[in-house]
Amino acid sequence: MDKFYQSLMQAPIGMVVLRGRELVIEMVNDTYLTIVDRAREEVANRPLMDVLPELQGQRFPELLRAVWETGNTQRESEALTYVDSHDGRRKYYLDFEYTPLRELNGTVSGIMVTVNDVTVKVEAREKIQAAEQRLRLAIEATNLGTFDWDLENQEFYSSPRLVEIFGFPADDAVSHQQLIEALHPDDLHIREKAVSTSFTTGGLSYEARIIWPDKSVHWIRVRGKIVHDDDRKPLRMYGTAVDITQQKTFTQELEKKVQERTAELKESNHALQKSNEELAQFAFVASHDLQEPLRKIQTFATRIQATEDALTDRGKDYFRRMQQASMQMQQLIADVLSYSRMNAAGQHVEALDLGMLLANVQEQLSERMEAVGATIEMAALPVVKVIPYQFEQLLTNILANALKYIKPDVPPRIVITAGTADGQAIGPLAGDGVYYRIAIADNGIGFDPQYSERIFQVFQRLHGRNEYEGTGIGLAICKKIMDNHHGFITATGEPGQGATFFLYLPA
Amino acid sequence: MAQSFFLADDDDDDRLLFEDALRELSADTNLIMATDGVDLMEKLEETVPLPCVIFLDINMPRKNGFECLAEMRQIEKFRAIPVVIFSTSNEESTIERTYRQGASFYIHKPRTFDKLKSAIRQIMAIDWSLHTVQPSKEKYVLQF
Repeated sequence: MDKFYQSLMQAPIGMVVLRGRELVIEMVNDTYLTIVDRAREEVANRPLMDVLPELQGQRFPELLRAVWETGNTQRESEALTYVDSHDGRRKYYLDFEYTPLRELNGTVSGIMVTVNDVTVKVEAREKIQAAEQRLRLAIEATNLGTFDWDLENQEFYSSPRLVEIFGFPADDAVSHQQLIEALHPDDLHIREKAVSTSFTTGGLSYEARIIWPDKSVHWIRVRGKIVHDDDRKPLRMYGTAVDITQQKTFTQELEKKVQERTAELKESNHALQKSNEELAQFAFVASHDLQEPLRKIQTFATRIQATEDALTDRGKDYFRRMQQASMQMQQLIADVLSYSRMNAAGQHVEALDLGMLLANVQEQLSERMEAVGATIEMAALPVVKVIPYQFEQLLTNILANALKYIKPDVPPRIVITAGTADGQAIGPLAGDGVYYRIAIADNGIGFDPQYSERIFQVFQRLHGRNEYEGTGIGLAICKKIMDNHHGFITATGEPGQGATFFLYLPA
Repeated sequence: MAQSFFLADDDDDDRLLFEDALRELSADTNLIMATDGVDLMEKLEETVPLPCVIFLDINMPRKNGFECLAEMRQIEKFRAIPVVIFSTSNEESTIERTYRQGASFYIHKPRTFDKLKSAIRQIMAIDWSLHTVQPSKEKYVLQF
């Protein structure tokens, strides 16, 4: 008996034995005392309702009376109970049982109360339920249909919204098979592939068309996640589906618009390219054919000069001037021809040592350099990918300018340096990358900075023909060559202070 | 025996200047002129003996210089006649093409009468019996 008593006292379940209709506490264990937050001395041999007056008004007195009157056991699960503890009223969820204790003659003489505190369990469950509730509300707000696919037993649960997305009334019982059959025949393979992929990746994701019972076509986006057991065996797939018909239609509209615009752009690009080609062709033919009559004018003029002894001195002067003019025209035609030929398309590009190329150009200009007593200083120059003949032409033009626009009595000095520059520092048209920067500085007559862009335009000259010869095409050719190389050419200068040309090439 | 030249050129100014230049250099050189490629091929067919040299313009109506060259290389009796291209063009592609077609020299039509004379003089001075092989590409274009 002692042992039984002891085990009762230490049981994890709260126990009280109540005697008589007064419900005097005859025996109580520690667990019960902990639940009601009372000391043993406070409760021993006192009526229950005196000890726990807060039970008055709750359902317990009635139930206890029922045990007395009917002799039947009363039990309840997760009964909400309030107990006034020392630090205020506390809320409990209790599983309890009131068992009648009988005399030998069968009359009820007491009640055995067992109480199990399940508050933690109930509250945890309530939390989960609240979270589920919130999630459900969120899902409903996003118009997502949800599904839960038991892969082991091939059971499929679909939310009312999912069923709706497939065009059925929300409360219809729609089978998994029906949903699969609703897929557009052309998109069936999309789902099949996505599902089989999901078994390796764990994630399901696809967009496909479905056909509603009313035959209308809708787009859905399906996402899912597979839950595995400990052996990585797939157990279930949870997922969502959403109707993206509007979005898809919008995207398709947009794509169509983009395609239309692209086609238009392509066409106008094509037209522009064609017109550019025609222009180049025209420049080529025109300048080529212009040479023919010019050559004859020159030849016949030399014939007259050689054979017509009777010409007066004035007549001879006129012929000399005519020859001069036709020489200019010849140069002009040659330059226009050269300009029209400076295209990038189909040109051979190779890695070229700029230093060697410059030495080459210098060699070709050596006669002129000696004549004016020019010196060139050259730093180490990079190897660059260029169209060789075009870059040779470019350097020739710039050096020839430096040797042409010189100050009287000052020996020309040209200094060539190389470095790099950040694309953003060059100008809005430059890319983000790094560019080689070649600087060619001279000590010639320079130019007014306000013309620093104009000098690169075709036929723009800053000097009269009597001062300096030229057609106004040389620097325009340079600019076109730099354009062909996706590079840039700029110039700085001051009158009387020399000019510096900067070449920028993508590194 | 006197040399005989052929000149095929559709431009009568150029034919006049060529003839003037040739006459100043030599009185007895025989010159037969054709006004285009078709005319050239017909006159070649009738001419006995064959000319020592043909001066050939490229850009001509009806049959151009390229076509004439190709045709002459097809016909056995014309195959060995030296051809000097005489053109306004200094297009690299034209030079390259005529060289491959077996022309002997390339002259870019000179801009003065004196240079024209030097060009003709240089061609007249060639002993074609020593020039049975085409010159190297570097020597193909004659500069004046």
